[in-house]
Amino acid sequence: MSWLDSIIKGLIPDTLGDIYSTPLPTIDVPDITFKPFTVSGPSGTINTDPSGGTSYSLDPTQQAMASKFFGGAGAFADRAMVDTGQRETDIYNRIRAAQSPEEQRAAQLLEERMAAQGRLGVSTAQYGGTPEQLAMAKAQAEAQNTAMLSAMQQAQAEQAQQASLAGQFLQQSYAPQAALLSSFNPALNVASMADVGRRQQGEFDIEAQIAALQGALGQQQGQASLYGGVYSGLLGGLGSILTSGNSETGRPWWLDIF
Amino acid sequence: MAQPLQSINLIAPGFKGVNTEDSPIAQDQSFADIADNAVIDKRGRIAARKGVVLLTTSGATELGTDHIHRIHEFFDDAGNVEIFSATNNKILKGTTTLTEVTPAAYTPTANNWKIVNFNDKAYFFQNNHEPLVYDNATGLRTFGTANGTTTPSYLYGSEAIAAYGRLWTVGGSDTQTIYWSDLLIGTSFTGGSSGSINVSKAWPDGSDEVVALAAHNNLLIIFGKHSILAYANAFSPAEMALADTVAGVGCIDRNSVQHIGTDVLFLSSSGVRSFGRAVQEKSLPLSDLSLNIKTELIEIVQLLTQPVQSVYSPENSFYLLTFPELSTTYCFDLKGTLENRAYRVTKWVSAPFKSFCQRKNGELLVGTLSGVGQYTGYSDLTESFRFRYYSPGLTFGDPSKLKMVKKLKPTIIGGNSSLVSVKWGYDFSTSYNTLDFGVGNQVPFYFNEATTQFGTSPDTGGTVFTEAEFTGGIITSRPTINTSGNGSIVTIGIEAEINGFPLSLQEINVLALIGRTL
Repeated sequence: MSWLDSIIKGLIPDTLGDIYSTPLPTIDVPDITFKPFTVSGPSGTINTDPSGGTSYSLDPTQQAMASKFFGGAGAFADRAMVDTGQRETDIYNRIRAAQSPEEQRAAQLLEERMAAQGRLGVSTAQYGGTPEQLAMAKAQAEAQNTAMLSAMQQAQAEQAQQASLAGQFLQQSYAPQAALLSSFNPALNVASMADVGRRQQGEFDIEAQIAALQGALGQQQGQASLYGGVYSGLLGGLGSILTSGNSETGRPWWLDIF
Repeated sequence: MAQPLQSINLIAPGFKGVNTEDSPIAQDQSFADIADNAVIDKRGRIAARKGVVLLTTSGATELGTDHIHRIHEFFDDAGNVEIFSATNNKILKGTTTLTEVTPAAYTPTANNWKIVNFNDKAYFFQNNHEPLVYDNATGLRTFGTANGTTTPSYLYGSEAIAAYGRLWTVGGSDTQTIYWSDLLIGTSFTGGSSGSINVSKAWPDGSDEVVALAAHNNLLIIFGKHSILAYANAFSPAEMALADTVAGVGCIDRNSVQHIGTDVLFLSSSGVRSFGRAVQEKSLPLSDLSLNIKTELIEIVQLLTQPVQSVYSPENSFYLLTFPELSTTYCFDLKGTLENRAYRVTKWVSAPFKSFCQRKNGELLVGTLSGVGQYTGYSDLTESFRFRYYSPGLTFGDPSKLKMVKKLKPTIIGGNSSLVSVKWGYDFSTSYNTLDFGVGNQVPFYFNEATTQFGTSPDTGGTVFTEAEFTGGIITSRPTINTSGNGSIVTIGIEAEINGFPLSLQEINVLALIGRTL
């Protein structure tokens, strides 16, 4: 078959190979990666890193305030969670301490009146002592009951107040951080604009490079197609010649040669 | 020249009662130095008291050697009446026949019961004894039996009264606390409206102990030994309050407390007092109703070892105060008071009166050594008793002059067949001259009476009436007694054996010569 190879090689130009061997131009990918940025404000500083991480650094004074509020919230929360029994007792004792002098005066007056009436020693099945003493005892018991209920209500109110203060302090402890975060939003917009520009530029760059690549590719495809047509015609004509023969036997002509 | 006889008339001698306090020669001659077994009669004369008719005919063996210490009349709304008496550590009932009703297995150790009627029941209280309750249906029972529970020891009191719808009691080991029952339930001292009051802080002079209780003028009167408390509004005990106090006057024996309608009489350590006056006058001496025998009475009181007995008899208008251990009774006439606001008082000596009970029907029952008697008639248990009247020292207006009593002419009313002794003496000598005379016999004759008195009753001279004598109905004797001796102070006495008939002394006419100045 050497002769065939020679024919083919004679028919195929050397540049045809270049079409397939010449590499296409490479595309340089533009750098559109995230660029870290830093936000600084009165509340503190926010740093971003290339991986998208964010770190916040409150201003020391803001941090101190936040810590104070946070600590206060903890203290209030601790107190809110303490059993109210002891507080009820303390409040009750204070109320009773306020009431006791008047009660003692009233009791002394009653005792003096009972003594003047010679009734100190009265004991009855109905009242225990005298009706007046019963009324006094009832009044004292009612005062004690009222004081007890007041103490319970006051202790519960104080507990609710502590819980509320804890919430408020906790909320306030995050205010510097919230302020810092608030300052982050405008920075994010600016950073986003830069990011968009960077990405658009990259897109443009890569599109241009792709277009150039496509042009080179089309050129090579055109050349290949041209060569293909040429060789297709040549080979087709050659084939027809080779296939023409005896009309009666249908044998190619060239077999008759041999 | 012979001095003319002076006629000095002692009108109604002794009608002011005994006076042993004032100087005899300075006394009103209407007082008496002695008025034994006497009363002031309805005409204001000194007269012999009534005696005792024994009602008990059987059952007196229950008394043993004891006497009747207490008598009480129980009555209820259904009309049941029972007479209780206490003697010989027993409780008896009845008058003619004494039947023991002491609850079984209950042994009293004393007889000084305080028995009160309350709401158709009778309640018996005595110091350190479980109280008893009687009603007509169930008889006499202990509180424990009646209540079905153990009676608390604080009810073992010595004093009890029924007042203001409740039973009030005090005594036992606690002489400061007065307990009152539930309303109308005398055995219930717990629950309901029952209660107590300790009066230890109420005494006006710091301390005392409750001796007696009384209800008067809407007050609860608490007698201490030397002070008195009066609580108002006792209808509501829980609210009762001290209305008044009296210091220095108290009651020494709860048996001496008697209501006389308008006042309450009681025996204090200084004599007989009345609550009304004590409160009004705050224990001023003028309120001493026994002022005329004050020292004598105090001396007796200080000697007492047994409870006294007393009674108020509206029918007889007297308050009797008896000292059983002395067989002595003081009779305070309540018809009026003297200038010194004391009651007229006479003294009953050697009398059988040991205890009393004023009945609803007016009878005055008397406890004696022989059983239950009645204050009526004019002999003591069929025995005579001696009436004695002695005047104070009479000076006839001039103690410095010598008196020679020549004649005494007493006017004596009643005293059938009595032997009357007229006595006189001089200058406080207790050695009296005596002359006896007999009072005539005069017994009413009733038409168609089976046994006539005429011709059968001897007179004092031993003769027999042979003729009918007609009088005004009451015999009056006016003997003339010739007397002798002389002195500056004259004492005149009348003594008589009272044996079945009343006797009163209307007047004594004294005929005397007034001599030289000593």
